[in-house]
Amino acid sequence: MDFSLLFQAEPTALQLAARKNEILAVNETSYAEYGLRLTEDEAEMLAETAAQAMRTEGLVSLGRGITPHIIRWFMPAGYFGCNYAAQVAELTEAFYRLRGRLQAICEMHEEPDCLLSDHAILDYMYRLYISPTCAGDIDLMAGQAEQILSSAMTRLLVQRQAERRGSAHHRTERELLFADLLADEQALSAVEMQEAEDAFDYEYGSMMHTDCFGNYEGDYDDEIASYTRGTYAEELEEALRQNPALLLPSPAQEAAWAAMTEAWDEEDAKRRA
Amino acid sequence: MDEMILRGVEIPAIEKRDYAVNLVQYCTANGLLSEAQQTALRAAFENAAAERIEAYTKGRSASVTRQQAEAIYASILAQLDAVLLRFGDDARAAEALRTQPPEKLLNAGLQQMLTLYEEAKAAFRRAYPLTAPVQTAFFRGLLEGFAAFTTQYDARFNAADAAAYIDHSYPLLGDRRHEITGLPAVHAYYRALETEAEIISAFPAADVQTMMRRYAEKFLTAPQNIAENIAELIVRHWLTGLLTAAPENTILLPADAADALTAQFAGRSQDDLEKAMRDAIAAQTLLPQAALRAYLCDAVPTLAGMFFSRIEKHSLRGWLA
Repeated sequence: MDFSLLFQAEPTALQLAARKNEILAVNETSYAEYGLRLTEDEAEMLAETAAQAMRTEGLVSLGRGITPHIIRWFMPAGYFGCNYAAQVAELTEAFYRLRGRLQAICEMHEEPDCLLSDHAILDYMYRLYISPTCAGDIDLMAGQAEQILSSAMTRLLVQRQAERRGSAHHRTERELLFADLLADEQALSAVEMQEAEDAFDYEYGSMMHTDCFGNYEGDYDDEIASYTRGTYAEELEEALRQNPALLLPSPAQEAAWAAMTEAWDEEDAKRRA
Repeated sequence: MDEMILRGVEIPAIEKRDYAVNLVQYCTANGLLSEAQQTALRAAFENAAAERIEAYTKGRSASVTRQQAEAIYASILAQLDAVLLRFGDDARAAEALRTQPPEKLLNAGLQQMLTLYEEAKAAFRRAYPLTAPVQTAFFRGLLEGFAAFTTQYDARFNAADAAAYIDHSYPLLGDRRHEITGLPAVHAYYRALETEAEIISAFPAADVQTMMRRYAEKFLTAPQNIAENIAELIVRHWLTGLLTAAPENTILLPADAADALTAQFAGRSQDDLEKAMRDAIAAQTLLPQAALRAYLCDAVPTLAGMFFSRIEKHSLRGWLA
C-alpha cells in the first residue's frame, strides 16, 4: 500500500463518489418541486466538473462539494428548464472561477479575514442571474459578478490596509515586548462587538438587499424597461464603490444562510440514509 | 514494535526534520503499521484538515487555495511532530504511533504546540530585560520579529511559518543550530536566548560593557554594532581567564592572557583543550545552575575548535578584547 501523510490536492475516487451521491440526493426535491432530475452520469459529470474547476483555480476542498447548494440556490429562478445538467456545470465553473479570483486577491493582501463566504458569492451570483438584464444568462452574470466583486474586494483590502497604516505608530520596546497582551486589551468588548455587528447588519440589509426588480417603472423586460436609477448591476457596483465594507455580508445574514443550507444538507442526508 | 524489539531489530536514527513523515514512512515500509492503522491515520489527518479549513474560513467556505491547504496540512503534521518529538526516542515514538488513537496524538500535539508557544514567549520576555544593559542593535532587532510572533503566528493554520519571525541575524552561542524546524525551533531559539541572558547577567554589567567597548574599538565599530553573540564573547574571555588561573568572575583579562593560553596549549591537541574547558566549567562556582553548565558544555566542542585554530595560528590575542 502506497502510504503518505503528505498533502494530496487531487480528490480521491472515494471523495468523488461521495460528491456524486450528494448531488443525486437533491433529485427528490428538484423533481417534486420543479420536475427536474439528474441521471447518474450527469451527477458524475458534475462532480468531475467541480473537481476540474477547483484544479484550474488552484483550490482544494476537503468537505462537501458546492454543487448541491448551487442547484438548491438557483433552482427557484426557473431558468433550469432545458440543459439542466449543463447549466449547473456552467454555474459550478463560474462559482469556482469567482472563488479563485477573490481568494487570490485576499491572499495577495494577506487578509484572510476579508474572505467572502461561499453563501455570499452564491447570493451575489443569484441576484445578478435573476436580474432582468441577465435573465438566466450565465456568461453575462459571471462577467458582471467577476467585474463588480473583484474590484470591490480590491478596494476593501486597500481601504483596510490604509486604515492599519493610519493607526500605526512608532512602538516602544514595552509595546513590542507585550504586543499580544496589548492587542487583547484593546480588542472590543463583547457588548461593543454586538453593537457594531447590529449597526452593520442594519446598514447591510438596507443597502445591499434591495429588490433587484424594484428599480423599474412599468415592465421590467430589459428591452422595454424604464429604469428609475440604473440596472441592478450598476446599483450594486455603485453601493460597493461608496462603501466597500458592504461587500462582506453581516453576521446575521451569514447565520440565516447557514441555517438555510444546513436544513438542506440535513434533508439530503436523510434521503441518502 | 514489541515484536521488532523482541527480535532485536533497532530503528535507525530518524531524521528530526519532518520527523512524523519520516517516522511514518519508516514504520510503513517496515510493516510496523498495519493497513488498518494507516487508513485510520490518514482518515484522522483528513478529518483534522477539513475541520481546520472550516475554522480557517470561519465556516464561510468549503474550499481554500492549494497553498493554504498545504499550510494547514503542514500545521497538522507539525502537531504530530511536536508530540512524537517529545518522546525523545524513536522506538517510543513509533510505539505511540502504533498504539495510540491518531486523534489523541493530534490533540496532544496541539496542546504541546500551545505550551511551546507560551513558553517561547515567556522565555524571550525574561531574556530581554536581563540583557538590557548590554544589548546590541542585532539583539534589539529581535524585538520586531517577536512582536509579530506574539500577534500574528497561528499554530493552527500556518505552524511551519514560525521560523519566519526569526531571521537569525543574532546568532546563538557557538553558532548553535537546531535540527528541528517550525515552532519547536523558535522555542529552542528563545529558550537558548533566555539561558544566555542568565549567563550574561551573572557577570557585572559594567565589566561586560567595558569588554564590549574594548572589543568594538579593536574592530573599529561601536559596542552596539558588534555582530557577535554577547554571551559567546563573555564566555570566550571567561574561559580564557579560567584556564589561565584568573579569578573566576573575570572577563577583563590582562594583556598577556591570550599569550599565556597559547603557550599552555601549543603542541597539544584540541581534545586536551576541550577537556580542560569542561573541567574548568565543572570546577567553577559562579554558574552553579545545572542548566547553564549543560548549555555551556554543549558549546564546548565548537568553542574548543575556535580557540584551538587560533592557538595554532598564534592569533588568539586578536580574538579577545
